[in-house]
Amino acid sequence: MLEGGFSMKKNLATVVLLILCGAMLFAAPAKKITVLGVWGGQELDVFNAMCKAFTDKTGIQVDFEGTRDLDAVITTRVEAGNPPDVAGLTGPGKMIELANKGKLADLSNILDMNAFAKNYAQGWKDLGSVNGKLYGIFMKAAVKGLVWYNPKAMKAAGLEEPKNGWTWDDMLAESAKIQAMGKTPWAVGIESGSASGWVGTDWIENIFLRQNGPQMYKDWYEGKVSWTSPEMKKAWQTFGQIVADPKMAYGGAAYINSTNFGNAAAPLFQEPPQAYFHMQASFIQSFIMNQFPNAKPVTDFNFVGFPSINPKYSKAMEVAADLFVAFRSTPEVKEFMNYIASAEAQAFWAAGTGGLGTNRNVALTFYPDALTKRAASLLNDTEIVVFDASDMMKPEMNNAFWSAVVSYVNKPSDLDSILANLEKVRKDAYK
Amino acid sequence: MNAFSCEVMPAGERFDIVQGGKMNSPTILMLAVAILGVPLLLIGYITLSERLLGKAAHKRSSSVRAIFWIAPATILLVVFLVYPIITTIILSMKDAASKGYVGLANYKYVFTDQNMLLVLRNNLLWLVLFTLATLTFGLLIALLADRVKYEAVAKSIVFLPMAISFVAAGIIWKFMYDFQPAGAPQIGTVNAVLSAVIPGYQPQAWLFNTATNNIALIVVGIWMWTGFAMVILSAGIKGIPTDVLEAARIDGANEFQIFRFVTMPLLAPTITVVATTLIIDVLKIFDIVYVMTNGNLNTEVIANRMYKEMFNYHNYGRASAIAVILLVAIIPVMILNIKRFRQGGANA
Repeated sequence: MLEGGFSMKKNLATVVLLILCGAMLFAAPAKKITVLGVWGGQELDVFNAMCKAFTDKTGIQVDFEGTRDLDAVITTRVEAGNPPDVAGLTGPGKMIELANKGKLADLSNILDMNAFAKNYAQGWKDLGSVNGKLYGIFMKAAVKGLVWYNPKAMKAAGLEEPKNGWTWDDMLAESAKIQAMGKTPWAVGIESGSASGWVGTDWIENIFLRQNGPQMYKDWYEGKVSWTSPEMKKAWQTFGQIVADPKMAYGGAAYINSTNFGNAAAPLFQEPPQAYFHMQASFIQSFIMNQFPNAKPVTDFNFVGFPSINPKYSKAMEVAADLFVAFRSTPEVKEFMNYIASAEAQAFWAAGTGGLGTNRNVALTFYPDALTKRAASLLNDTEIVVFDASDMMKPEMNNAFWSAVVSYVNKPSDLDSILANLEKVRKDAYK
Repeated sequence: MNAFSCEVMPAGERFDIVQGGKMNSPTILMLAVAILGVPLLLIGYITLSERLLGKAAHKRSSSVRAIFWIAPATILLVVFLVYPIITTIILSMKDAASKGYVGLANYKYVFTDQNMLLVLRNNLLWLVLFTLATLTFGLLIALLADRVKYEAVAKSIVFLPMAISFVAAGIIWKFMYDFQPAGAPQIGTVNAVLSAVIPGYQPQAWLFNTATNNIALIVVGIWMWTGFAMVILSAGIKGIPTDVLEAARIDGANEFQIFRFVTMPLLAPTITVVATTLIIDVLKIFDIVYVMTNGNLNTEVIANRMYKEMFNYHNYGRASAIAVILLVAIIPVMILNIKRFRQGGANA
């Protein structure tokens, strides 16, 4: 009897332990998704605000993990069989790669496709598709290749404000006037950590697009145009008219290469101004307003489109946008992706960061100021939209392109060998 | 921030990353299993093997026991070191996607591609300049600090940079090297000091001038590692018996002669250990370059290239080939280091 009692006690203890273990295993909240992205600072605040509205509505928790080296982290996690539920990418290049490897969830099974077709321009659907299947939803778009200036400074110097539709020659003429005053016309800065040089690729892309049109532009990012072709060289040399001339760009090569893109517009706002023009995407507005809190859009800083080169392609516009992809199609992911595609979610980015909505129904009223509103309507009305070419290239091509810009700025006379090196990378990457 | 803390590892190890360990399930439970379970498992294993051995014939049990006892360590070694090395070597002979065999094409690429040759040249530059300068400064400071009252304070200050991560040091030095055009206020310490001291000085973009950028990066490495060399060498100097030094003095040797003919020979084993450790470190140098220039303008080094081939370009073949070359380059230094350690042990 005594022995039996003891073993009963022991059994009971085992059962209790087992239940405890079981409870611990299943105690975790059931509804939750993991999101991997690059956002930090203000962008992360906006993302969190957007997710909070989602959690309040659906009860699904969003676990965000941020990294500045998204490409490497995603690669590692996908290879390890442990991808996040959803990832926010910075361009379609990575999406295409993952989709081709069969790692992404087909969004046509996840989204309400009728609503999607109604709310999104065909262009965004095409950009988010691989082999006819939709994998990515774009949000927080930016118009690239805008030329920023300080209207007050220009007026004080007796210069005319540039107007939309201005040409490259108009720009050179205006620059010559500024040089005659003993000033430098342009402020350029291309430093950006492990992505240094991308600002220069934006320059070359915008020039190439306006010299050769959207079809050749597409061939280029698909690896079908030789880097040593005369068209390519001409685009680089046109870029060189700005960056290879210390009289054209403030501080010369050393300043261009060592100045972070986020601070690069600063010479426009110094007293006295050190430069008058700055080329950057629509998102630079938030950088300017952070650095110079008293600067007011339209009166203190304003933008015009990139100067046109070949009049045939003057209506072309380059854009970039972050996009969401899903690695699984669980019910939670489904809810999240439908939310991301909604105008409601995109309005958070519009209001918080001045990021332009890709959903047509993001009302212009959400945009924080007249300038962002103008960029948004520009995006809605433009005729030829192309995506940032370097973001569409294979990663090794993109990386080499970034580095090549840094080398070119450092020593423009090396252009031929720089292009030959890029051509070698292209042949290697697209064979 | 995974990438920033990423330790350079042989590319083959990517297959060993444990599958799907989602951390959102009760982490504490897993932790408990790890902390309690592993020692329990080992104790259980030893007890069991001892019991089995007890039953076996007495004569043979000692040699069998040895096998039982070293088995866990050997198995762990094979799983975590030998297997990844072999996998890496195999991968290095396959194509970018690790599908078909390409022979030695990846190695040919590493030793003939112009960019790769530049990378190898940079590593050589690091190897020579970093090792020599760190050793010289470390020795100099250790010798000088040995003679002063505030030795502890001086040594602590020199050792401080060792406490910072490479990434933080890279960011700090990026500020130190900051460039503004002449006339604008210089916020970078180096340019600010030089402008103040030298009249008519033209500020330099140290990290963006191909004549200075590699040196500028190596200086950061030296700044960080001098403390390490100093601490070990200082311990070596303290270990030299004072009666030997006194005997030399009585014989009429001056301080330089004492250093040259007494201190140096007795310190040689310590210097070798420090030098080999520095060489192993410098061959793997990654973070400083990654943070400060990302290899632009001819500053790329082997580890950065391996990282790019692996994580950005997904060329597992080339990444593995670079890993193997790095391994082969380190092996002789390793052997020398281990030999010296053994000798040191025998002396003590």
